Parts: sequence; structure tokens; C-alpha cells
Amino acid sequence: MRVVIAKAGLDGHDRGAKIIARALRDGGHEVIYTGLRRTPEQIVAIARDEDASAVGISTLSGAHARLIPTICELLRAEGMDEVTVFVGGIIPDTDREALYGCGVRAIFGPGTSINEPITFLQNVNERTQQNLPVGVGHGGDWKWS
Amino acid sequence: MELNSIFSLFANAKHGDRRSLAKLLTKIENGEEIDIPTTKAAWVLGVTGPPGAGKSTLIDRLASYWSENRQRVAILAVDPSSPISGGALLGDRARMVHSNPAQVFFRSISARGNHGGIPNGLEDMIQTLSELGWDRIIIETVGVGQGEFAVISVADRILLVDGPDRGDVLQAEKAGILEIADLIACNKSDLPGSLAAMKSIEDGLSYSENPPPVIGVSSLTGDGIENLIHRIETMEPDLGKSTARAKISLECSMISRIRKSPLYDDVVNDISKNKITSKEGAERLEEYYGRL
Repeated sequence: MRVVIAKAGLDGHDRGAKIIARALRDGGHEVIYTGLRRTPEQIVAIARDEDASAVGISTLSGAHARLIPTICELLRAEGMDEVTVFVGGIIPDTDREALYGCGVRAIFGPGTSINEPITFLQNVNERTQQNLPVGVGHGGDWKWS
Repeated sequence: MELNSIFSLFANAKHGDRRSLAKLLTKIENGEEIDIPTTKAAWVLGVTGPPGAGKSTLIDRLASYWSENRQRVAILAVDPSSPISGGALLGDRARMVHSNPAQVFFRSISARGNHGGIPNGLEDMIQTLSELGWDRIIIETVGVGQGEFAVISVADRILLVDGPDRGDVLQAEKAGILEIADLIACNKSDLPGSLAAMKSIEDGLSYSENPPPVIGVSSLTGDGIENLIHRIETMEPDLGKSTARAKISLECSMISRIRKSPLYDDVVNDISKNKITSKEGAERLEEYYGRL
């Protein structure tokens, strides 16, 4: 799969994002790393131009509640309903439901093993083959656990 | 109604729909045949050089300048893939900070195992972009030896980017690309040692008949960029291809062709299991082509 790993907002912590990017590469994916300080509009434009099937957004600065829903809305507005959105970083438990509600399909917090995002994307692939909802605009409440 | 055929994607892309363009390029990359009209000659700049020289940052500057001057710029950045997993970390995009994404189209491409050969569909992608009205197409590849010079086959203008902080400027000399480039940008002119690096490159070229000009730039400060652009714009494209480039182009095409052979995987397997030597493997492939 072509996967965009994005750093949104002003958060400069990129170690986790880069580790995940490398892990996904080792899992056979083509990973486009956006670099730091991308706006939601830029992230969506990148996912669109790169024809990405999935976008992983990394945020550790607390701005997730604002940035992630915006990214999800912009993806849908661009007609990119089928893109799978997943999130990594520091997301308090109390904020997670809201993110799932926006169309996020997985949240990988601290302690996530390297293999988890790979298995998640495998699942996404299988579900896509079976025409089951995986995208940010597909609705339904399937999420990774 | 989902209009996903190559034909309708092309039509939509022609009307400016980026998503259609992106999907069209995916189809081409995945091997779908496309019948592109050839009404326009593509303007293609190949940018190569060792890792860390600052190619991506420099391309960001070039693209930014051109797009400010109302040129539509498309960048295809090719990165190597993992020979083991087949995956790729495509990080060139991260350097695009100055250029405006509305004017500049950037696509990251994995070599998909095609080191030394031309990435599948690259030529079709270039022709497609050209037909869709992109004025300047930049192909970025890493050049670390003879293996990564496929860019030479698809570009008519070659820019080599080198710099002072790699320890051994002679690497570029050894690879032979110095003489094949049309222009050499010695990047990082803001760093100490850059003048020495420029001199070293110029010295390495001093015995060639027609050495490419060496231009000092700093993609960090923007110094020298306008001069570089002027040189790029005014140089004669090597459309006919000199002998040296012709050789490289041919070899890249041969490599790509060999990899597409139906025998390829079996031969590789036999070599890896020590059943045959690589020489015998090459002979087997040659026989196959001889019998065609």
C-alpha cells in the first residue's frame, strides 16, 4: 500500500513517526513521509497527489482534538472517502471516542509494538477486498483493537 | 458512476483534477498500458547526485522559482526500495517547503526493485505529464554509482548535485557521472569547504573536452539559485544523446528488459541456491532472448 505518514501542526517530535515509517517499509509498504509542521490542507493534498490508501497522523503535542477531525473532514470533502486514517502519538483515553467518531480507524499510543500497524494495514487490505468499510468516509464503527 | 478508466482519468486530469492525475499515475506505475498522444516534447530535467548533497532541497528552490514565474512544475522523485521487503521509505517530499503545492505537483516513486533500470512506467508518466501541460518535469534520483543513472535515459538535461561535506568528492569522479552531466551544482556554498569542493570537481573535469560548468549554490540561503536556473534554461538539451549517455540508456533499458523476462525469477532462485553460477544464469537468459 501507499501510506502517508504525516506530522501535523507544530509538533516537532518525529522519532515515533520515523520508526513507524521504517517499520511499514519493512512490512513491504511504500511510505511517504511528509516532514514536520504540515497543515491539514497540506497533508490532504499530499495524500491526494500520492494516491495514498492510508494516512497515519502523528501528534504528541495535544493538538489532536483540533487537527485530526479537520484532516478527516478535508479528506471527505476531497472525495477521498476510501482512505484509511490512523493516528499515533499521545492521545488520552478520554479523547479517543471523538476521534473514532470522525472516521479514525486505529489509534496507536505509547507501547504499541512495531508489528501492530502492519497487522492493522493487513486487516484493512483484507476488509477492502471484501468491500467492508475501512475509509474515513465509509461510516460504520469498525476500528482496530 | 465511477469513471476510473485510464481514458476518463486522463480527461479529468486535463481539466485540472489532481486526484484523477494521481490515480492515472498509479495505473501507469502498476503496468496499465496507456495510449498517450505525443503532441508535446517533454521538458525534463534529471537531478542526481549522492545522498545528502541537498538535491531535494535544491529542487524545492527550483520548483518554487519556476512556479512563481507561472511555470507548472511536476516532480517525480525516485527512491530505492528494500530488496528484502519490497517496501520503500520515500522521504524526498519532506523537503518541499517553499514551493506552492497548488502549482507544483510532487509524486514519490519507489524503484520497486528496479535498481539500475528504469522504474516501470516512468517514461509514460513523463509523457502523460507533458501532454497534460506540465512545463517543467524534474526527475530526482539518488546517484551512488553506475546503478542509479537511469535518470539519464529519461531526461534531456542532467544536473548533478554535489557538495562539500561528504568527505570524498572523488566519489562522483569515480562514478563517471561528472562528465555525463550537463551542469554541476556544488551545493551548500554557505558551508566552509565549499570552494575547495568546487575546485576539486573542476580539477577532476579539467581533462575532458567539454566539461560541464560547475556552479556554486546554497539551497539553504538561496544563493546562486537564479544563476543556476539561468544556466538550466539556456543550456542546449542533449536530445540526440552523446555516446556516453546512449550507452547508459541502452544498459538501463536492457536491465529493465531482463527483469521482465519470464525466466528471471527462476534463474535468480537457482543462483541463490547455488544450482548455477551467475554466469550460467546470464547465459540462460541470453539463450532465451536468442530463441525469441
